[in-house]
Amino acid sequence: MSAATFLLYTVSCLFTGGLGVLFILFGAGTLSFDKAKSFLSSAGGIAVLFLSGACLIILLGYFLLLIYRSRLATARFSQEGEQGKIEISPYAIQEFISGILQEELGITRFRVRLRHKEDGVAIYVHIALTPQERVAEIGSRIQETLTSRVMERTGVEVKEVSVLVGKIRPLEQKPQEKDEEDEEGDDSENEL
Amino acid sequence: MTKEEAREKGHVSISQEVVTAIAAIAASGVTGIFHREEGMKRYVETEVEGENVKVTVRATLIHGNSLYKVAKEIQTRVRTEVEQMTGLQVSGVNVDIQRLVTPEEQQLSKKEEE
Repeated sequence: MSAATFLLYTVSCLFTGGLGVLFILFGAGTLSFDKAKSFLSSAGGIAVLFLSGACLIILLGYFLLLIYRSRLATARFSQEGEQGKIEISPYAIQEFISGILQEELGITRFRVRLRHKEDGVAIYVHIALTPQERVAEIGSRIQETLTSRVMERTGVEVKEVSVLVGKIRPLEQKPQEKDEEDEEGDDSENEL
Repeated sequence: MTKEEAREKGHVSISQEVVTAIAAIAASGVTGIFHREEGMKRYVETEVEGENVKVTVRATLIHGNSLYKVAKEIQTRVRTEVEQMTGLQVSGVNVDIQRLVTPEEQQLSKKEEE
């Protein structure tokens, strides 16, 4: 979780919790409406109202963004043809890319993320290599192979293939450690 | 026999279920599709309007095949079979590829069914 997200969540919790407590106190009669009215008419009260309004609008924007992202994450890649529509789920394309990375390129530890971009797809591959492997060479092989294979076999146009080498993994590992890391590495992630 | 002649002799109607079954059988015969004939019906929807029918196939494919080619093959085969067997006009065959399975998963599924 990023610092900005953490801050947003904290402010949201305090704000909604504070509103809840206020409503209860008004309901219980501990706070009187007259006192609240006189406070809200003062300069401080007006400032609190503006601040609260701004917080609510920011929260609204954030939740709309979450809804938009979740809708986009499940949006299918669609192609209209003479005989009808061909739609491919992001999950299927991700599985397809994982197969190419494993079988054709021999990469076992990776994460794949997809994004809709114009009328095609942007692919983000996060990999871990050994010190012996040439980063630039493997990066361009991934770009070339994925661009051609995805286009050729799914019909979805590849707008971008970005490769991020996030980690150099040791050459020799104990079998137990390797198994644990392989499990972690095979977890493909889909962020649309 | 023309359609007009057929109408004069009586009415021939085909239930939507039959159209769905024909489409499912046609789709399941395509190489690269995971589901067998019996299970395929659940993944096929048809909308019949007069003499037109629109088919939607929700497919799980086997890894290693060209998704695009298999989808095209499903469209062609479903259209041909439905039109030939029912005489209805297929206005479109939408193919929705939902997921992929490995050949090993397919073998495992076959064994479980047996």
